[in-house]
Amino acid sequence: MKVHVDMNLCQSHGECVAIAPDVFELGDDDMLVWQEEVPDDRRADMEAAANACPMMAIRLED
Amino acid sequence: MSVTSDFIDLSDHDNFVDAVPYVALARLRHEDPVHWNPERTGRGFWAVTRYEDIRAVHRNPEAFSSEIGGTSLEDLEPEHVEARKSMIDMDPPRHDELRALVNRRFTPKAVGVWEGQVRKVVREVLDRALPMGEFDFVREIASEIPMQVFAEILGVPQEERREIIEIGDRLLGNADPEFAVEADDDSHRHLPFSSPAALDMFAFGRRIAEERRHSSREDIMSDLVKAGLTQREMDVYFVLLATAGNETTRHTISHGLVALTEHPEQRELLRSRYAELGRSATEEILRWATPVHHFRRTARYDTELGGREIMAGDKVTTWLVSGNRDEAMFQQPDRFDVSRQPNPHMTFGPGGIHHCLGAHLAKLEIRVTFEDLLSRGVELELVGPPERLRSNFFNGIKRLPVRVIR
Repeated sequence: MKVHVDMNLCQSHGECVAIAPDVFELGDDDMLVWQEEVPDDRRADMEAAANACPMMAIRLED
Repeated sequence: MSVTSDFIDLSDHDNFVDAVPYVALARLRHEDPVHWNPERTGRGFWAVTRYEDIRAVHRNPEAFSSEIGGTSLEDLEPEHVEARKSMIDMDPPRHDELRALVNRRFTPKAVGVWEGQVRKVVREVLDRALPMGEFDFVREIASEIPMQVFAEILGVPQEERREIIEIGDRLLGNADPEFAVEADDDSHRHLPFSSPAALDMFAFGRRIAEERRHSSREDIMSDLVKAGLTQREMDVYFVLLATAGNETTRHTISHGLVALTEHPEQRELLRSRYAELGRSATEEILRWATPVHHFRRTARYDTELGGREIMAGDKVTTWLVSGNRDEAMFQQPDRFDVSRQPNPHMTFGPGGIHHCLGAHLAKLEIRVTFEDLLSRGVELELVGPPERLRSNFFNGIKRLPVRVIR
């Protein structure tokens, strides 16, 4: 599955990082960096991350 | 239209003067969580009072628009909504474009850079206020700290800072007779908060913008100047930053002092373990204070919420102040607990594209304020009841007389 993050909205709250630190990471200057391709068995975590994002910036695509 | 309902009328500002109507809100949560509230001077609105339903509304901007009709309860003509709307009253895509202009200046790391300045502001404000012995906490401390921090961040000169506070008071207290200017006059409906004071705030913002146009800085106002906004977009952006970041934090600090005074055992617990509890106490003060009672959305199409049918065009108000006391989400919600964890309060919004831009900054200001205040070896005692703002929108304290005890 593909993970999209709208960087116009992302404000580095870090909720996704707490849920899936292997996929999401706060890099230099607190900018979010993330894996765009994620194995399907991580779907539950990705949905949890999308749901936890205060900015609703995370979108999943099959 | 006559109002016949034995539930509280949430459109009546008088129902918020003595206190937040927590009991009436709890009754709504239990008996009619998506409640139709008729209005004396309006077409009525849905009042959403449960945490989960509020969250559902805010996380579905497709169905529940901020742009159709704006985010305040008051019904306005479409041209007035259009004329006064900031990004808070917009839907994607324009909302997202405007928010992106300043979003990176409010990330945790960007805000963390200001911690030194916030500490300095708090220290100076307390150094000046406490020797007065007896004073109005709102005027001398709670309004002063956020405005000084905001001014610092925007680069407003020291001598102009009192002026911006006074404009803000007039702008936001418009439902309160003490601050209202021509409150029944329809000629200001095109202005933010329907208040003529908005014009003064516009003028203030224009002065700063003009300076940045000539000499750019590494700051928010320079970002906005460079973005090529229209004059109106610039005006309302400034009003949004000045009001959203100031009045809310002010009221939260005032409510925080009241809460800590009324719960001395919590105050002593916090004082003895501030390094450990400072952050959870900040979240609890935010939950307890809920400086904005509600926001409004408008249904874009026919939809369903909590088992009720919502029709396209219906006004839907979400009562954050009720969600923050929802027993389904918080254990003993009416208990003030500085060590409460988890604390998923919705004071900054329950998540969604309009989630408070300045959340991290507000938390920093509140945490630092009480850290400093509790470490000075003095106590503040209330010498009169808090004087509340007459408003169903702001949970505001106008005056809070205090005395310093050593």
